[in-house]
Amino acid sequence: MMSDKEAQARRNLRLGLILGGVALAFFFGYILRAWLLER
Amino acid sequence: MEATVNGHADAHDHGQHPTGLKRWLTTTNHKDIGTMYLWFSFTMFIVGGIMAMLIRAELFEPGIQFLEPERYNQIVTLHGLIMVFGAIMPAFVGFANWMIPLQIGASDMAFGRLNNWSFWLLIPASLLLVTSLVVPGGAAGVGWTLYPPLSIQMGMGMDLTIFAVHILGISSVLGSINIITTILNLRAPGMTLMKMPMFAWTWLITAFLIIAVMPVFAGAVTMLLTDRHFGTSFFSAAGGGDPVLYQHVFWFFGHPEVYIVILPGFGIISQVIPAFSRKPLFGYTSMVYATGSIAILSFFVWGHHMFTSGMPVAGQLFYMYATMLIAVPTGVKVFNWIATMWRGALSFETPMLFALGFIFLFTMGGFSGLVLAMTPVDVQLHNTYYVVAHFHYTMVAGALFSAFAAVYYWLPKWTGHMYNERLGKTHFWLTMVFFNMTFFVQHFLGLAGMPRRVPDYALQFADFNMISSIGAFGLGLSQLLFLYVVIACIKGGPKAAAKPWDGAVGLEWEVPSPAPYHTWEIQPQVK
Repeated sequence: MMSDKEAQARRNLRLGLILGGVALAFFFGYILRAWLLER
Repeated sequence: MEATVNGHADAHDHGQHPTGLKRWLTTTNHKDIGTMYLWFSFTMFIVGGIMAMLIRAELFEPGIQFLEPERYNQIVTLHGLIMVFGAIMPAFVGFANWMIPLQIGASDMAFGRLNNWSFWLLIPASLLLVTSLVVPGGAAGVGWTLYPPLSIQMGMGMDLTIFAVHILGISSVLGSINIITTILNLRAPGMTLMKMPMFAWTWLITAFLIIAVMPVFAGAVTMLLTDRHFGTSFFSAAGGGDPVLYQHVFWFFGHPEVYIVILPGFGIISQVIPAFSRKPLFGYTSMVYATGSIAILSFFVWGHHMFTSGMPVAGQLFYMYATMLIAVPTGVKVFNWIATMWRGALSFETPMLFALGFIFLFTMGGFSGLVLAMTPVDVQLHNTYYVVAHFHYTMVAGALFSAFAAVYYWLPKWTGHMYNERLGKTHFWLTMVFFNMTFFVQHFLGLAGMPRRVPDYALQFADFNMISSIGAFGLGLSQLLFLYVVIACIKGGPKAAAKPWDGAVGLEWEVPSPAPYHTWEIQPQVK
């Protein structure tokens, strides 16, 4: 059984990873867009 | 808002945290990290300020005094980068670290170690920026926008700048992830989003902005790096690339960046004005929506920085009207601040003076922004000192004045002492007078056609430049008084009550002053 503290830490980690993923998607997305579309 | 506070929870200090250097290197405590951010920010403010003094000394009279044009442009570039990324942004992250957990009833930030890492990344980044001055070829001398083709051609100082931008970007994004997670996941029971203090609200929106645009800037400088060293031609016209593409990508980041810098300031002002008017904030809900509207609109106006780069008339009209539209939610905010003061029991302690100075000067900066939003006018004023005056009225009078308001407002909570009110007010008036002396005359210089980023100028600009330089020296020296007031307050002074401002509301005033090392280990209940 997970304690409240562990459950909270998991929720925090999940949200942190989602936000980090969004940041990485913007970073690589803009480079890919410039590379593929050449504009 | 009422809070039920567990008396044991708010004054809890086991005294088991490390001391000395180890404390600061390894700390995961939000208050320690907030303090480090604030001192780092002030240090960079001094470094960037010394560069501003050098610029104004060079411009004191016509002709080249002591800075060759290349070196002058390097100093201008570093001044911009250091003030935006080294001074203003870390200052607001410092306030966020210190105050957001206290305001929402959280025991700390969501990711303590990540928080420590976010701060310590700033040190190598700032060292890279400053030491780029002494590498062969000198620092990047291309302006803070780092436009190609010049940025592709520069020496290794440019590589250090690109690396510094990458590190600063990582630090900002990690800090933002921490702030969003803390606000969304760690609020005290009963602290609904629409009960949050405006400072927490503005930071929540700012953090989303940072996550959306800092990676774009990092992507742009990565492409610059590959153009410089790895044979790509994203922006190099010689290889079939397009330098204007860089401008689009940069300003897609650059314009929201302006709001990243100013939105937390709006939050601070939205807390200081009610406290010293002894009234609740007028139109809280509309303030939240106005902040969100400004953030969303900021993604659609980047083209107004590029009216002279060439674009279709339809594009010019779109960016002109979209830019003007931002005046609507900003106007809502200014209206609400004034309505909050209307028939309030006003008093004019230093935080309130800086808040009023902010409203007056930021509104002036907003108006000159509207002037520049008009395409035909912008074409005339582009690259002149009018633009320099405009953005210093928003950045200095906006971000810096709100930061000063925040320091004076929360200093008793941080140190447990009251600062010297007379010296604080003196600091305000010196800053107010010298700021306007420095930057108001630059409107006239710009209207008369004086270009920016050039160390020499024609004789007809001499008088206003001399006034501006004298003002800048006064503005710089006045900040030594601020340093003295803060250090004196840390060392001693009258004991501060838990709530030193009788009109202040919020959970941060429920804990003793100075705030204990650990707070809200048992979350308060907000009713």
